[in-house]
Amino acid sequence: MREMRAGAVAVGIMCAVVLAACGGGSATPSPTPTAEPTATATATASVPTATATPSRDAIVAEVSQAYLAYWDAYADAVLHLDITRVERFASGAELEGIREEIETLRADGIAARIRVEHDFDVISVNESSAVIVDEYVNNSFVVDAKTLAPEEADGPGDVIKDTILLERVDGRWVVTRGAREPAPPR
Amino acid sequence: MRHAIGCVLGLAFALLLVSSVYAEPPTPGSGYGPRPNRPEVVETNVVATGNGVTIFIGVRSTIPGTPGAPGSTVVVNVPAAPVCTAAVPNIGYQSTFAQQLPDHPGELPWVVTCDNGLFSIAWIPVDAPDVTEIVIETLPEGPTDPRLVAQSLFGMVPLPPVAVGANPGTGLVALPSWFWVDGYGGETLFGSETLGDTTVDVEITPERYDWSFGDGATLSTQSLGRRYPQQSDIQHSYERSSTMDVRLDITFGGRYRVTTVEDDGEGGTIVVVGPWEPLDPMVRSWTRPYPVQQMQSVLTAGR
Repeated sequence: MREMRAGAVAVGIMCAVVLAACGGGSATPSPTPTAEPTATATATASVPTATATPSRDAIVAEVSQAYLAYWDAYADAVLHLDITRVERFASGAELEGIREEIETLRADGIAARIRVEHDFDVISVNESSAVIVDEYVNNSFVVDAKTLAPEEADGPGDVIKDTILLERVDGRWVVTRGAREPAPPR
Repeated sequence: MRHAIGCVLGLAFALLLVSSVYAEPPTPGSGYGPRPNRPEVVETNVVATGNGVTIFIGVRSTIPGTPGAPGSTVVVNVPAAPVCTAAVPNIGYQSTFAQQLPDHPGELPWVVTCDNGLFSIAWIPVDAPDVTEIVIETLPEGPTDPRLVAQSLFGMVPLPPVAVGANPGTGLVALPSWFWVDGYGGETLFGSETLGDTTVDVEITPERYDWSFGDGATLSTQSLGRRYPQQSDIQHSYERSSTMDVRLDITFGGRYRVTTVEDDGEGGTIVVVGPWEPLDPMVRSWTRPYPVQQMQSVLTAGR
């Protein structure tokens, strides 16, 4: 599960960077990057539930944490071709899209190791929905569905820009839809 | 808008020209793009209109949609059309947008959300009073042909700021109200772009105006009506007082033509102008609330 750790570390670091940038020195609680997270721990990462009147900074922190937890769960799902691993973190059009993606991978006898470095902003929030813009560097690669080999490979290194909508469903922030924007030149 | 059309056409033509299809599945160790089936926004264009701005978004997606059908923050009357809203982000403009601000002088990013799963960012002029309409055009996936390119272009050509005109401003029961199409004189609209040796021209003309007066009565006409104080030929008398939703559906017909520059076989070139071919019609809708009141006689005591 080394690939999950590597991904989670990158994700955690980026999360800390982003939240530091977004918080503007406020006392916003940020998701704590862990040095050695396990796949299990990542997949079951807790997402704070709604409080009576959460501050905007608190919601941003919740949304950021939920978004990164979604990515860990998504990576787990497309590696093991198991939609149930991401069901707690996505719903609606997004979950259906992942389901189709997994079916396509399975039909081709392959799976995917997700390696991404996030650079995202929470650009809009209220108590029930939030929008994230994420420009991430993608180094994900295809693996064999049965052996999960290889463990390492050179990814494409391309920059992908997604706009993501999260909604609070039953007290949890889940990704419900996303759109791919033209990536800026680098 | 011409720029927007060009971008859409450019992407569509790129599909035509490149038309590479990956029949073989990727091999282990090759690159992978996460969430490959997300809707892809290929073009966003903002056009000033009389009341605000109209956002045109071109999307390549597997999400079911109606090419050319309108979605709107104000009026959505066509079944299967996405309902979209636009809002200003409430967090402020952080690094992602801060980097892009120099590329969008005088504009700020708005978040567009549609009920068919699409959402995107559109850059709106700071002084724009409102987003009056959002038009989503679903572009064909994969390699396509000029007809599909033209059909996509058909839906992206902006229309004039049409409104439903009515007189009197408040209708009276049993007296005819006059209606007309305001802001549009029925002119033919054009779209055209050249990429490489190929040009696609699109021509759009209104075919029919369908009125629904809000009380169950309808009228189909080829007339725009006439603006007050002229007497309009589009009239309706109400039998009860209420606030009626008067709806105008304009059916636009379209046609396209492909012009190519080809080798003549003798070292020169010839221009081949294709015939005009019809496009599937497109219906756009506008609605206004129209109050109708009952006239009341007041009897006064006299000697």
